[in-house]
Amino acid sequence: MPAAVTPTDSALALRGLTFTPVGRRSPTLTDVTLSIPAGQRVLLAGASGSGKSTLLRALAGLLADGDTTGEVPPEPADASRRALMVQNPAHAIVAANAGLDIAFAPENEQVPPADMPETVERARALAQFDAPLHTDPFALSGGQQQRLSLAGTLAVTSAVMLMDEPLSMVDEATAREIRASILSAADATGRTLVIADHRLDAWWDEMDRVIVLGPGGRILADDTPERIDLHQPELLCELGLAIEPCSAPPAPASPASPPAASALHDRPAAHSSAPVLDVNGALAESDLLAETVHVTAHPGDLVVLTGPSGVGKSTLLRRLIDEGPCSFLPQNPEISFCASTVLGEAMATPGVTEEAARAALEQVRIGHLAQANPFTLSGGEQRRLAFAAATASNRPVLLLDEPTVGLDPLARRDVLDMIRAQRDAGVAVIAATHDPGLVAEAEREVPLVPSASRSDMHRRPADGAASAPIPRVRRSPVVPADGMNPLVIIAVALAAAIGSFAVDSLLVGAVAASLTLLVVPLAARTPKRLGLRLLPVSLAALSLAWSTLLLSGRPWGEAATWALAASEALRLFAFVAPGAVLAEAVDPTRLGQALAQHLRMPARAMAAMTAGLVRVGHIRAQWSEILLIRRVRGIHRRNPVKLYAGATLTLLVWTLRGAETQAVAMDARGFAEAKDRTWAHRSRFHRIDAVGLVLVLVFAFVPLAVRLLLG
Amino acid sequence: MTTTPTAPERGWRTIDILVTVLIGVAFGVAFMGYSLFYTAIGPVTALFRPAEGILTGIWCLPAILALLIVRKPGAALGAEMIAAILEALLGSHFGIGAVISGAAQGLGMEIGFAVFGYRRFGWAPAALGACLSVFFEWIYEIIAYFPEWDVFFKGMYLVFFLISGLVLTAGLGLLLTRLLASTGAINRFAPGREHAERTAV
Repeated sequence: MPAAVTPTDSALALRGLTFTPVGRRSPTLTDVTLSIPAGQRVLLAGASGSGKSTLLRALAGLLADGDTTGEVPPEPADASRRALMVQNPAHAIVAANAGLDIAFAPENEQVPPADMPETVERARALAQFDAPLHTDPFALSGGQQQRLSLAGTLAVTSAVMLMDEPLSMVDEATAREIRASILSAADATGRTLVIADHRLDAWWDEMDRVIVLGPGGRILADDTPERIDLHQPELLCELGLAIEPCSAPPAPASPASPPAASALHDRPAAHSSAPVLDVNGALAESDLLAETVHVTAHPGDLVVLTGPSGVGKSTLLRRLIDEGPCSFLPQNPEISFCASTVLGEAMATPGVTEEAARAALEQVRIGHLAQANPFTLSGGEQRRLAFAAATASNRPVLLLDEPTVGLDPLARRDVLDMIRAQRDAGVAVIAATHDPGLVAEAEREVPLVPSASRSDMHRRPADGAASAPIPRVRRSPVVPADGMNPLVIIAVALAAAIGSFAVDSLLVGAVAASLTLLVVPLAARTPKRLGLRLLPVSLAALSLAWSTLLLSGRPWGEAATWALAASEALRLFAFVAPGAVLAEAVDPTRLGQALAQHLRMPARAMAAMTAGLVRVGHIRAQWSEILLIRRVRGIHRRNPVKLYAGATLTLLVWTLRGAETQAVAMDARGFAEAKDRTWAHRSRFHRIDAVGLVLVLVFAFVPLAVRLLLG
Repeated sequence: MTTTPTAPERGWRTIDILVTVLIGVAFGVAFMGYSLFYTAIGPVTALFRPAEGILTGIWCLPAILALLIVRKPGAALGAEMIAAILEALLGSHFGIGAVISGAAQGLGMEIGFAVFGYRRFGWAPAALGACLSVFFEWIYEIIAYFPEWDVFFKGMYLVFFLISGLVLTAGLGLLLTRLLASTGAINRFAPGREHAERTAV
């Protein structure tokens, strides 16, 4: 269908919808009835857990399994879709570069490859995404990732834009810009806009209609913003969403939290005591920052590290971990969990008694959940648990990575209260943050300024060409094998494996192993990378020689035994090394394209394979983070089995949770129906593949020929 | 309405495909850290190499976990192949050998569950699948890597493989599935739904 025309079927209507997801006892949506006319701008307001996300998914036709009664919108009559943008843009990434990521929806919609650059460019321009299209999505700053997600959503042929908390992951300045882009894109395309958010100030004045959701997903108000202000001003206060301060505090204050404003003056003169932490220039030497930074913290201080997304706040924070005993709280509380009960979690750090653990849980108001599984807690409860567990051991320094990002006002207040409580107890708190409220409470702010040479931090002007082709995935430096079709590379690797079976003596083995040299000039990017690929293979070969020597049952004294061991080692090397070297030139994108286009493997499986494999770097980073947190807390220090087992479970939980959101994001871009999909790039064969075929014959038959010749 | 199907459902949802892939990727990442275990038991296995077989079961975990969670034919093979491709791309000990191993292990697991018609997902198919999985891997390894070992050691290797398969693949796989169900992370799959029904009094 012509991509430039906005489809007209935008019926968004729900009638009496009640939905209870699997694993919950009470409904997430209760008796929801609403109807949104074409082109309207709607704000879904509600605290975390009020069902906003679920309602958006219902509108998109992507409700998960569970108990459903009532009516959801039917499939759009014009074969379009209802585009949904999920909350965390990192979950929506499906490709190795930005251009291919935006092209995901067009591929699923079977847009002809020749038309794709235009579709991608249009979406890119609407979203005002201006990083180069060949950039790795995981290397983008938070704001750019959000824009990329927006572009990917705009590339869907849809009459609506459904957005789930689109501003929650970025700082104020970026949020204002992205909001402007969303509104202008809705204007330009005439799409119906539905935004789910708890940050009402950002949207209030721009929306035609506000729907307020309460606990259990009940609609509490549905009207224009002005009328809600006029007739139901206390409603927003009750839910903790109000823009202006309310007359009475919306939730019972924790008994442990002190009054906010005067706390700074009540604090004992902190500067008379020695600093707990005094660090100089942790990042300047790596050219990431324009100047040296100096971080000093006294007991009871709050020091904030500020700066634009991606400048290195989190990196600096992690460097501080090695400066002395400290507690560390990551941005995602779930990855720090390591026990099967809440109480166990609080006690997990060595040296924490059950008494102290219970006290810490009481202080953050989750004492009643002591026997629950930490992963089943709500988001706010999880954050409080992670805080309690991290601080139960009373270490002098507390490091926090973006403690308030993505939180609704109530949860945010909880975090600020907990931080104040720690400071009162004399702990020095250092937080990487872009939350202005937190910055306002700090003794000291350490702004991080990116150095001028950093290309990732500075905007590029938009690529000139109106419809530049979608870039192929490139690595550098380029090697000849980059042009080889992945199927040919696999064929060469298999040929080497099969040919190696002809090795039956030292000489044949030496010849076969040395054939590896033929592929080295084709695929060695740098000497170091070549070494990294050949080293494990060589070690495996040596190990095989050793075990053959010991276990072949032949006498040790004879030279023949040693010759056998050596020839086995050479055989293994000939088996594996050529493939290992050539693997350098294989990448998941081209592999998926080749398998789908030439071998007719199922298209969805191949696209999903690519989407999964491009996340390897991201998942590895999480794995390191999980292990880091356990190391900082001192958990299972002497028991590597338990350490890795627990870390693996946490990694699996994190991965599976992400998979749920990612599946929604992919289905929202048409993946569910994409059994036949087109591909942005055609998998081709080049001249270099002829070389590859020659190699196949060489690897398969030369060792055999040598063996036969030697008799 | 909530239904737990008794017959295998045709058709893979997006979440089914994605979880199969991501189990492979997550384990592929974790496996790179496990290699230190092989170094740790190095002193023992240097002298009696077949003992290394005692850890083999771990490598078959993606296969069994994918089948126990997703419960669709091909999930085991898919997850193992992804983990193997990941290892090959990142530069493992065995390159294309890792891919062949992955195929062997995945195939063995598939046959184990296929014997029960992909309708049972308890200890019986788990044990059978695990044994076949390690058995196919053993056959591959003694043909490709260790043809020169004495028969006795090949036999011991198989014994270690089978023990490892039963304990580390079947046992650990079933345990992991139950643990994951209790965290609520797999509520969109049958084991998660079954757990939810059991605990929602």
